Amino acid sequence: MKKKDYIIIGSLFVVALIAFVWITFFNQSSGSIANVYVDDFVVASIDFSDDSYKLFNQDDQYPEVVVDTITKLEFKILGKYQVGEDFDVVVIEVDFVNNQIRIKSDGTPKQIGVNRGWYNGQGLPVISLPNQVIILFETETDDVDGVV
Amino acid sequence: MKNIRVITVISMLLAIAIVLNVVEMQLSFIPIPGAKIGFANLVTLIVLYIYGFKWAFSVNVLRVIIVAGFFSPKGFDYTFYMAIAGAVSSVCLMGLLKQLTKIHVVTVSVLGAVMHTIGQVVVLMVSLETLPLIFYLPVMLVISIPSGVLIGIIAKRFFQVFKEIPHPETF
Repeated sequence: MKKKDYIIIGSLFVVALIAFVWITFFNQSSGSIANVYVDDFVVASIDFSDDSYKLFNQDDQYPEVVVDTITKLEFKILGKYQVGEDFDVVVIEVDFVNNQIRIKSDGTPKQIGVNRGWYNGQGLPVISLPNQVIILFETETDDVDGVV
Repeated sequence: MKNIRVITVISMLLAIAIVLNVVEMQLSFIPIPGAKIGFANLVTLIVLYIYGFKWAFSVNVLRVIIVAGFFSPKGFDYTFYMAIAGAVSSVCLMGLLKQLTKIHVVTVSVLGAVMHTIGQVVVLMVSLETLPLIFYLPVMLVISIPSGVLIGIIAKRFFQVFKEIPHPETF
């Protein structure tokens, strides 16, 4: 290996590392509304500025609210991951005290979205790929018309 | 007859790539979700340097299709599109770098790994129409650069060991 090779690899790694550290520790999302997307559609929108929430119907049963208190909200939505004929049920938990949200449980094999833990707008967004569930902090609820 | 010999060797290398890929799918020793070392890329790199771009491209694309068709639990879903995007973009970049520049095989491997990651994340962003997924790119890159170095070093060692065995000149 020549000096050029070390420079290319080293500089790439440093750039990636800086971006990684910046995103993990300093990237605070500006919005106060957590939107829960399933397959590009908003199914739930939680506004932490006034602790309110809106659910958009997926079908007759879901989203289904399980727990609804002043400090805590828990509801079930349908993901895109299929076990046999049935779609996977994803349990989302919202903590109004610390303004954070997480996927409490789902049926995906690797549990990546669940292990991501609480999300308050800082760091990586919550994503569960098999279910196509994404949780993002945004300034407003967009694409309401797109909800079917 | 020479061509048959090449096809036979390539088929066996393709089989090795598929086995490496399938075995790796069962392992998850890296704590970062979705990250892999990419041992199958080792075969692509070796084929690229010994047999040329055409064969490396075929091996890489066939590997992804066969693994998705036979071994992936869900078959041709979004993971297939991510894998094929990563495979095509990385092998094209590695082929260009090998052909046009004089950089070392380890660097080619690293840049291929980086391109693989970028291809995957871009396809994911487009298919889910979610721009913030780009935040996952640096995390994946921090993993993929060291794994690219590892694969490059193994490939270099392979070339040293098998230097005496004559390779057919194709491409």
